[in-house]
Amino acid sequence: MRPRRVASGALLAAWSGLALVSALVPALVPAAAEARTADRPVQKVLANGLEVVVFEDPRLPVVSCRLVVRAGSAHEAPAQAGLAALTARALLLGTDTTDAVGLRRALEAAGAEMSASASYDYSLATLSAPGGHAPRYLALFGQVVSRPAFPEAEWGALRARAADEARQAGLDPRRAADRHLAALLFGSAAYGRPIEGDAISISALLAGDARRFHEAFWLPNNAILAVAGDVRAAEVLPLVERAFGGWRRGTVGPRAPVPPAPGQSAVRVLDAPDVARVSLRLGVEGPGRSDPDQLAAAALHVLFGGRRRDSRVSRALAERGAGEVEVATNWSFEARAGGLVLAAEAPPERVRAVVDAYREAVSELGRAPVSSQEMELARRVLLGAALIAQEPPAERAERWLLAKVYGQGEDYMSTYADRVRALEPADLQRVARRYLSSDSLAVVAVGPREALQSQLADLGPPRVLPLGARSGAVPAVAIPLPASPTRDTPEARERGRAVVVSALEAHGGLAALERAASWRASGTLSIGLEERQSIGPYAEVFAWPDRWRLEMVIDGSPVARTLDGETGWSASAGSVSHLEPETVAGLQLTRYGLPIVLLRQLGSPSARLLSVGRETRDGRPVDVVDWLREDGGYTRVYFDATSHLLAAAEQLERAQEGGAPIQVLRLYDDERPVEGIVHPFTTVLYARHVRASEHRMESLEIGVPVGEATFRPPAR
Amino acid sequence: VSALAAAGLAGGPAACASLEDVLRAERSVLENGLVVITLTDPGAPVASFQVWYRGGPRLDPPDHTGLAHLFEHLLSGPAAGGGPSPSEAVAEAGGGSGAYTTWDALVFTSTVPADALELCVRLEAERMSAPPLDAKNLARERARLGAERAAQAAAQPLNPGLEALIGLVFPGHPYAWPLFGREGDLDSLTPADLADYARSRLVPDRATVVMASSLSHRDAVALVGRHFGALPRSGAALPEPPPAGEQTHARGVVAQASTGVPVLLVGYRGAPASSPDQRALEIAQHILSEGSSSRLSRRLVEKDRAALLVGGSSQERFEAGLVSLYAYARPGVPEAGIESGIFTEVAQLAGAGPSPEELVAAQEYLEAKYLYRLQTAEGRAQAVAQASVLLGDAAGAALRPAAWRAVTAADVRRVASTYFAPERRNAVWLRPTSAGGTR
Repeated sequence: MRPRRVASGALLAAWSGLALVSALVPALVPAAAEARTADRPVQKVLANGLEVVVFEDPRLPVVSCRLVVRAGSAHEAPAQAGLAALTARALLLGTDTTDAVGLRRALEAAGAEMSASASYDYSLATLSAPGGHAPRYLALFGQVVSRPAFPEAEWGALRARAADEARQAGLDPRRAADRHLAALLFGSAAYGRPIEGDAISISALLAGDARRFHEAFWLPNNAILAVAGDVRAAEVLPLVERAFGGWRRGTVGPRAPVPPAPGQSAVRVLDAPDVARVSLRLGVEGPGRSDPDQLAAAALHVLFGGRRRDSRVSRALAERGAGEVEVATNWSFEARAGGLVLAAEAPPERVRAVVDAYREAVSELGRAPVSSQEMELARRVLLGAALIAQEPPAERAERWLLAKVYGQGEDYMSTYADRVRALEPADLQRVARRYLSSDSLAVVAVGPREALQSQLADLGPPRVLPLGARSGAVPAVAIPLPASPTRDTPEARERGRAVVVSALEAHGGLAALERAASWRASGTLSIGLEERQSIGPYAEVFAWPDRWRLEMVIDGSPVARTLDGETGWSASAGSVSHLEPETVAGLQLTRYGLPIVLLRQLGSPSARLLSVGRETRDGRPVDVVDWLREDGGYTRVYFDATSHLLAAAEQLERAQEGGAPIQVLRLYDDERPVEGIVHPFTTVLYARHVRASEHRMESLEIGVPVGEATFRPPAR
Repeated sequence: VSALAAAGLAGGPAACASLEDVLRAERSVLENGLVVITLTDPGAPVASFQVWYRGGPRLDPPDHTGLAHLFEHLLSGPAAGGGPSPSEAVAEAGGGSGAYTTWDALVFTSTVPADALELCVRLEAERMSAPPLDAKNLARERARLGAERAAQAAAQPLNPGLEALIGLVFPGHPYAWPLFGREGDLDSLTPADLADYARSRLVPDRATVVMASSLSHRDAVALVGRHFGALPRSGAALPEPPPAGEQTHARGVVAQASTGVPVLLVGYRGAPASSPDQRALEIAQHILSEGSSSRLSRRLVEKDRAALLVGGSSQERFEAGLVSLYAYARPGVPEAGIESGIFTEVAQLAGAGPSPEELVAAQEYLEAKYLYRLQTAEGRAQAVAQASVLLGDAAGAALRPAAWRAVTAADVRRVASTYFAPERRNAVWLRPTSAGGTR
């Protein structure tokens, strides 16, 4: 076990949520107070437009670099949420001369560290290296930021990891609350979308997208490089020239258009029946980094909420006896806007007390203005935080760079302390009047909806979504569709059969598949688009060839649907109904989306298979086969050309609501061996080009006995 | 530093200060036994003040394991009388603070603007002299510990394996106890028990304070003396735990965890922190399991494709360190391949030692990571405190990089063959709690 660190204030230690609130803007205190060394860096602009600044600090033999690119998630298309962040992460997948493993090993060889990330308004790459190895690592850093390879194979794995992280974030009550609050405050504008994107938007990002983003924004004439630590400018600048001089300048892409923010109060409840404590967020929009009121807003935050027991909000809460509530505020600042967020973890019955405490604290600022003691406290906290934050030379350099990127001026750091000391209570009162209003309060609560709806009803009609639902800030993604079936030729048939034979082997062999006479699976099913979403458990039982029972929970209500040969039934809300013949036919077709069923059908000697050829799908080569079914339709099946595993299947299916058939695409992923069969554990379904559902299987038992009663309808 | 000069990046007036200058520690002992160590950095705008209560869980009473960690929580809460906690007071002065428990110490840290240093000293003296140990605080913090333990179990699925591993490596010794204590050990505690514990452990003669600031040693000692000088020493010696017996045969267990895939953890008892062997063991562990260049990664992840991920750590402890290695099995691959892969690589290192390139890379890696930590006053104070408490000499902080560089290939081979001998091997297989079709 490693030593456990406790951050300042027990509350902060307990909250991952606050870290995310901070992620709205990474630096509460953006600049230095009174730095001891090298406040005036040596500056130079290379011929390609790259601005370079050097901060000499010889106390330790360490050299650090910070490269800031003036483009972040605000520069990506809304449907490509997460592109800036994934592009940055993908820099470390290698360059045109070094692959990812080679890069890692080169860094490990002398303990150097490299990272890359994106924020809303900028992207950042960092390097730390022992001073003696600086020339070598500066050269490598130059390669990484200017000549990334974005290799297709590694891109897929990175994207899958990022999508999984985003999915987990959506299910974490605190992080979900932060995401939905951002969406309420800023709508689908950049600051409303998660920087890292959401699982759906990330899943659609291609390596080519990253390449284009890099070509448009990661340009020397759109970047500033700081070198800090044990260097002398005269000696390190030629090394920088050598490492970055060949980086070609270009035309910088545009910032994405900014839709108007909602700017009105709204209440959202994320239903999580089982949580013991509600994650509550209250937020208002605030000034951006370049707003003259930004510093006063930061000071106001310290005494209004902050993380202190004696803050205005904490006192108001104490008067209401809300002893079991943990509360803190954070005021974050981006280039064009910011947000004051109050974050609380409270027992469900105490949520209203927090809202009332916030309103009372706002109201009290009118009756009892900021005192001189409070003002002095705010000054002390701001100055101290800035001093400590910029202690390492690299941190000081980064803050200098960001002040420049945000347009705050090169003297921002050196004048910071004077400006903090010049703040007066009247400045804070002005900011309070301008921003802290209950009229445009956004509220998000994650917890049992029954308890929350009644407490929040008078703030506005709450919109109730399940925990895990998308925030609505990221638009849906369209998926391209295939053309009509290919020509029936002997070559196409032979090649189609060969592709399927390889696939059957990769999945464990036809014999193993044919032994799978029945199976049970369970996991999580998410259904729906932005406006209607449901995430809940599902369970299914299948008996070859056409008996299939699927149970799921939609919007909190259990639903069951069963196919039993040529008949079927469904049950929900206590009522049972037999399925219409059209619906039964639809289910017959839908079961071909089950991997074992599909593979067994393809493995049948009588199956008519035609090779369509090899394509690149989602950045990886796939072999495509059309299966011409006996019912006259066809299913287009995609197999990974390297692993031969089932990658996707596409066919026309019957819409539940009737009408014209719809094109349905299923993507398979996360293969795991079960009883000798390699089976995908994730299936993502796109209907009419739009992502409609995702099955994440958590357990699969093959060959288990299934009783007859399983497929019988329950008593009415 | 010498490598730096060779690269021509530094020299002349702007040349890097030597590590001995940056970590030049001075030491005094107050009459009540309090050890005061200072690092003077004239003009430094930020100061760090740390109190290390020596012993920590290692000297916890066997019937109340987990007490040191409980004290970390109790002493981090509101002050006696209901005033603001030390961390709140430090935050209002523009600083930050923290607390943690290692196997050998209970530690409180504060980092503040230089002009708030005295506040930190006063708060720590108050924490030592008047700890808030009433029944209400005990009940609250015990409940929080339970919640923290549950949260850690959920967030760190390797924890059950690590707890099982230290049980195998250090049987019968406090190092085998979980940081949270054994199940039920804290349930019967009363405020009187806490007061007894505080009287024997929360005392000047069991503490080392470290100050990294602009103050001279003399001024710093005077400042500490003003606030701590009147506190009485305990004088009572605490019983040392019996040493863990020599291991004569390999040990292994199987445990359940929510790791998703099977995980193998392997552990070896290392050397005392003050032994030169500890530095060689750190290099051996690095060569075996640190990063994609490591031997286990090359073999198990790349060549055999038996593991998804490998890693390890080398923990420095007062009496004997812990070297651990782990591998996450690739689904569908026989577990025997993981075991044999790890033990083969360990045996090869013990037999042939490291290559010259491996040795240099490990030395430079460890030194670099160490130097990064020293860029803040808090990091420098921690390095010096750690050297003082674990090595018995604060000067050891500055000498650490040199100690790594002094390790030879023969040293690595010797420690690997001695400490990683087959009969000293301990293994824990973690099996996923939900099968999920993974095996």
